[in-house]
Amino acid sequence: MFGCRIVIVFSLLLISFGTFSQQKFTLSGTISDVSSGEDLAGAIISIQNTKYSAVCNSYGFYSITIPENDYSVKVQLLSYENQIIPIKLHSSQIINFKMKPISYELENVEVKGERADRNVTSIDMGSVKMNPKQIESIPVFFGEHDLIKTMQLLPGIKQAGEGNTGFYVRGGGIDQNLILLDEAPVYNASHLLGFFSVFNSEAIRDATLLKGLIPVEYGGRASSVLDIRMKEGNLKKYQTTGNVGLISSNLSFEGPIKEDVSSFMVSARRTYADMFLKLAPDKDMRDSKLYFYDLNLKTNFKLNESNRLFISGYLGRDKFWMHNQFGFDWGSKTATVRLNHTFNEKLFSNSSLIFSNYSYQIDISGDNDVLMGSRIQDFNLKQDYTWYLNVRNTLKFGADIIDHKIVPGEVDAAPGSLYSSLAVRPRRALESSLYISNSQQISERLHLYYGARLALFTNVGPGNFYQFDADGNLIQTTSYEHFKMVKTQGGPEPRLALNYQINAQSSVKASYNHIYQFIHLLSNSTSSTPSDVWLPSSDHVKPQISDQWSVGYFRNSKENLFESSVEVYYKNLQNQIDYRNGADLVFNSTVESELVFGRGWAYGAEFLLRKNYGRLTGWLGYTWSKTMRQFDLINNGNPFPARQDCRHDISIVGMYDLSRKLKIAATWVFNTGNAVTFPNGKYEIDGLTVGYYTQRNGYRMPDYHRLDIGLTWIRKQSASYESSWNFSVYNAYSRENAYYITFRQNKENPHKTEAVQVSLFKIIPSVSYKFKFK
Amino acid sequence: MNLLKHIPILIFCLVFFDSCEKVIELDLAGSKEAIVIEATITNTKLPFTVLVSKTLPYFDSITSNPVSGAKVSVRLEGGKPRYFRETAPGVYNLENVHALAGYWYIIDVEYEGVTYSARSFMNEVVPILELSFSYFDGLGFFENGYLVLCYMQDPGDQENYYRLKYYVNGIQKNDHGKISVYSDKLINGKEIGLGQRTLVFQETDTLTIELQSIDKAAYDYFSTLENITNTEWQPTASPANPISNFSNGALGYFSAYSFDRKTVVIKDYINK
Repeated sequence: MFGCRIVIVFSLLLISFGTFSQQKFTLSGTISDVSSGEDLAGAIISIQNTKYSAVCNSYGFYSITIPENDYSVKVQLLSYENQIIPIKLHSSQIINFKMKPISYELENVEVKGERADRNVTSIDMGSVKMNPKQIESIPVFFGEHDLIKTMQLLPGIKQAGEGNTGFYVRGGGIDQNLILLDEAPVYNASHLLGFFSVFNSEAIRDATLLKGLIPVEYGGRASSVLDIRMKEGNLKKYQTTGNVGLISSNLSFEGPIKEDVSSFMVSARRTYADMFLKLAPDKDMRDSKLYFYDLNLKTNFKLNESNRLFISGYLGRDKFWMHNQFGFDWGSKTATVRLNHTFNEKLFSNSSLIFSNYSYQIDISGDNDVLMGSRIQDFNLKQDYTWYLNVRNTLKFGADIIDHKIVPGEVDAAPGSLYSSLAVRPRRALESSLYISNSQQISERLHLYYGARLALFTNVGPGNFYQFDADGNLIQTTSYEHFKMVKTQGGPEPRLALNYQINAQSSVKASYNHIYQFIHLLSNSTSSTPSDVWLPSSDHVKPQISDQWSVGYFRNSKENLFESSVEVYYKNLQNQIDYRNGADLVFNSTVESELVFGRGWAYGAEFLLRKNYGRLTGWLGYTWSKTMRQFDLINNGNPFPARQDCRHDISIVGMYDLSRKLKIAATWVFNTGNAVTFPNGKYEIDGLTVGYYTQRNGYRMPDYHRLDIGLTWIRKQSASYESSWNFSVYNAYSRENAYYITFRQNKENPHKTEAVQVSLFKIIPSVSYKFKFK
Repeated sequence: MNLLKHIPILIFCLVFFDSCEKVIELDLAGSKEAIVIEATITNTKLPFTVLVSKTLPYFDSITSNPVSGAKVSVRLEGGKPRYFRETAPGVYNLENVHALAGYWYIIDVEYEGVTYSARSFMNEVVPILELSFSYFDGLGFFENGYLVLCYMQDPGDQENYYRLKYYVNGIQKNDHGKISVYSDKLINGKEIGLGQRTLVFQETDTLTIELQSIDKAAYDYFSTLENITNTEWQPTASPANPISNFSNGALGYFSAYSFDRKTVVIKDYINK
């Protein structure tokens, strides 16, 4: 019924706005990098002296249908030289553009009127795009360039902090971000507790974070989507790139399998923090293990003119093992097989088969006697169509189904062990969706995006399903057989956006999303340990629902030399999850009884000023935000700030080319402290001083600020070989930022209590060496 | 398992040896005083003790705020109350009593018009079968010394909960706020050794181990208490007052338990 209505509305809108007075033809093709053959996403194709323009998709495919005529076609993309070619459009044509990266010689030339104006013209709102070239000189922790960590320097995105995995977008929780690597969901995107992301920058082509409008092809997480695409592999020649750093190294190898037809890319990274352990005085320390590794693989084949096959995979693991004490390891495996098919010059299709697995294992005594583990595994089938109907309308529609299998925890005791094995039954569910959207240029100034996604979640047997009363007591357990559909939840999710162009330099944009989230991350610690539990929605645990409205003013100045924007948003969150005191989240088949439910709301304003061209580039970002929660069973039902509530957040990033061979970059971040719970009194129990807590999140951590500086020195640069040194300093003025504050009895005088602040880092200098065989 | 939540800071210190701590000045708002009751009764002929006090501002230099003049009594379910006598400020004792295992006991504390009640079930004693010691070389910031395991046979037909208390040369070993409570979820019916993996003792120590057989309410209290007292490493994300079995918002607990004790001088024991 809902589906029928949508189709009718769509058809009416299309009929009323389509103008078909003249013979029209379609210009289509792919846009790629001339030296590697890699597809370029997001390039803009515009027809000179007209208002016609189009954007290519993430596979480099574009399609534009315009009246028969002679035109001058311009293609623009940041970091590449513009291309302008004349065409005579008297029949549909396929033109593939090969773009040349901007060379150093041209960088100092301020090419006016040729700069990208996407900030003002695109319908995207609240979207952030990054590629490794842009962030090459930005210093991050230990000299490791990390695309994801650098994205967190933009307004609206807050890092969960040093030593913490994940990030918060516009007041949402850590699990409300959908992280995709070549369309495969990544459930834990951190290594070594958040100091590094699992995404090796050498293997990545680009990444886009969507925090405003979330288009209909994405769903399942309430606050944002981080869509990361791997490099495909150079189609023309072999390349080897390596990076040797103080704490980790990576090596990548890419090249053609058959020139211009197929290619591959392999990239591996490993830390050697455990090398330092080998120098330790005691044997158990020397035998301990501490490392992580990542392996990215991709290969692609141009089967024929209209078919392209991509296969990508990722494998990564963290391992920490203290001999005879305990150990744990965690990591992800993903695999994606995709087929791009162009039916004709206007209809593009992408079919994907996706696999993702995240698991962790804890060795409680460090001797492989008893292993406790948990995992989440997804199989996903997706079919997506883009129909470039005419120059004013681009339709997208498709369907998606994910089979989730979650094993919340099992204990595997070795035979002869003193402990018994314990298995908690896996939970299975199907997350399915149907979507359709249209991106329509209503008039010269007004561009509208409208669409909806029907998102459904079904719990499936075999398994036990539990019913609880209001106090969390188990009333009933029902057992279901294989494939039995137990309960379906979800509904329609409208997504809307508009862009009103005031003039060539400025525009106003607005967006609205309604999103269901069916899988939830239960985590009770300050920093996400890998023992966090993923829980599917059920009878007792309703899906989270997010409604977000945002409005923004976008302005470019000095002929697109500067981009600026102001965005304000309001987000309403329903069915938020928190825990009863002392909740037992792990290895608990009735973990749902430990949960309490409530609501949240967040609002804020984000300011951004960016300079993308010239010797000095960078940005200045400021966010003012507030995010609150309210649960009847917590804090006596009074609203309290969420842990991630951060009133002020400032980031300043600057990159300056001192010369052709020397670049310097610096970042300065500042944010007011997270909300935290401190005691309001004390008493004694069994000789111990105990804190008395009356207010949840009633206090703030001290302000956090830090300066990082990096210097890149390009040593050698020739047609076949490149090398550079990178020197960086993390926390340049050595500020002791609080990691946590704890309360304890004074060691010398147990009658005295004191507050102790622990910080992780003082100043950390580092050096790394990069080489590339071309 | 308690070590799990401290993994982040452990890894970090192991790798970087760089973290630093310092005592800081903080302004904490005060709060309305709350009543704290610590009530225990055992299966032996020793007197029962109930401690009643009130909360204090966190950085106050005095550590206890005893409550005098409360009316404290204990009874069996449906039985007659026996009243305690205040022997010192905030300390209430009852002599010449003998509690038997297998029954529910109820404690009532009446103060300023409010009655705080709690009930606890006394389980049968589970005896200590034997103690075993192993030397631990120390690892980084974990000290070296002897680890002790306390062996017992868990009854297979019921849900059991245990608490281990350690006394060194007569004084309770309470440092670092570690509390050793165990449930029999993974060890039901097994003969197993319980112990703290990071608590070490020295050769010359006279060690007394007390194995208490407690009920679920006491287990819930002590495990949630440990979340906020074990502050050697990172604090828990949302600290909250431990789950008390007292009514009307009193802090603290009432535990009726049976126990077994064993005292050894470590150097004699390991040389046997």
